[in-house]
Amino acid sequence: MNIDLILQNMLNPPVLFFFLGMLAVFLKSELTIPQPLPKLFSLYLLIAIGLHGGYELSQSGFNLYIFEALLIAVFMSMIVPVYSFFILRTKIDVYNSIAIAATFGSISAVTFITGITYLDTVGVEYGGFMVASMALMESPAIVIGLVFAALFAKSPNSDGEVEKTDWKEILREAFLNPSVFLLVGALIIGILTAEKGWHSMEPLFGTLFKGMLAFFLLDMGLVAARKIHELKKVGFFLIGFALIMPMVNASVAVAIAYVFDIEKGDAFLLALLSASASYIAVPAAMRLSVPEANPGIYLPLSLAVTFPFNISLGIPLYYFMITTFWG
Amino acid sequence: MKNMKKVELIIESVYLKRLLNVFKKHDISGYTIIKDIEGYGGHGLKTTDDLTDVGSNIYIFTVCEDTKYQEMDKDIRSFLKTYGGKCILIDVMLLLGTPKH
Repeated sequence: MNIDLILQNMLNPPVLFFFLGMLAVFLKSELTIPQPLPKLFSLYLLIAIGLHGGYELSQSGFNLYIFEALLIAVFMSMIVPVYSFFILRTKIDVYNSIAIAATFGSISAVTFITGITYLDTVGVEYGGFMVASMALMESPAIVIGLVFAALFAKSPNSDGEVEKTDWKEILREAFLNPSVFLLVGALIIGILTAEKGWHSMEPLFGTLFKGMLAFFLLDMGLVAARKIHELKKVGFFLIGFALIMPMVNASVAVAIAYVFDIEKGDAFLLALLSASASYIAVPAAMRLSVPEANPGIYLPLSLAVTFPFNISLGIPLYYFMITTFWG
Repeated sequence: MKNMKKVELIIESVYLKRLLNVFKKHDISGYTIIKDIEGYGGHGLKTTDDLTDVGSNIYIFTVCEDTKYQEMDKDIRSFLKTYGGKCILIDVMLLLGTPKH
């Protein structure tokens, strides 16, 4: 892999802000971002990519190619938690296997956003419908986690009773969690209001996008670095899993995308989405559905290992894989 | 003045709805919630600036008659065994007003 690809990604201001946040924690700086702001940045980013994706989709229309790409996205989000679960079960207990498999089966919106800023930097086009792929890939892993919990992890509670799964509560969390709801809502608004709507919103949601991403990644750097000490309890197997699985998942996605003749930019985003792991929606759903699993394991793996790996080395690596096949 | 119990709970935010279901089951219709609390305990330092609510704590208290608390004691214990958290019981007297529950 060419070192230029890595530098091109790493010398992107938002990515550097992520590492600045990590450095602040390592050097014991008092740097903090006031509590409600990271949540605001996260809402901003979801609206921005949803609106822009909807606008792009209104221009391109819906065709068989888009349908195929969306289908691959859903397929990946269903198959990744399944094979991850059986790999994890060789070494760890059933509860943590379910939670980690679901976490790695779902996606990280910020990894996706960092990926599209990388594509903009290298001048590769991608379809606006990929935002819809991202929204579709968020929830299936939660459902698969629930199915695995029902099949493999029903143990009696302290009173000797097997607790009933509240499917309604957890499915609401899976499909109507704030991230998916806002993203899909913004995508639909983007489609309905098309070019006129996007141009009226562009000063806030287009021009300021990279600056807001830098703010958000700065906070992510702070949070990720604070989670690093928790990795001591996690062990080498799981740290290795969190580093190797993204590459395996990306490779599977690249192979499928190649077979279906998916375009270069879209294939890259499919690989990146498959390689990413959730740190918001799935951990919350797993805490509700599998309380026996330890969030001190699955959250640091996603936030402090896979996320930094993907936005620093993963993005150029997956892009290198793509350019090897697509040219 | 009747003997009353102040029931204070510190639990993970994600389980709030489930605790409120326990309250609802026992007709506890009044309570106070303080979100995003920080502190140090058996699970280390809990801060409020995480991106996700997983791991963030929440504080809930209610005041009810002694007998009412006894009715829900088993459910509160079962909740804490399943989802973790702390429950503090304090004997109190209300200066004005009596809770409906």
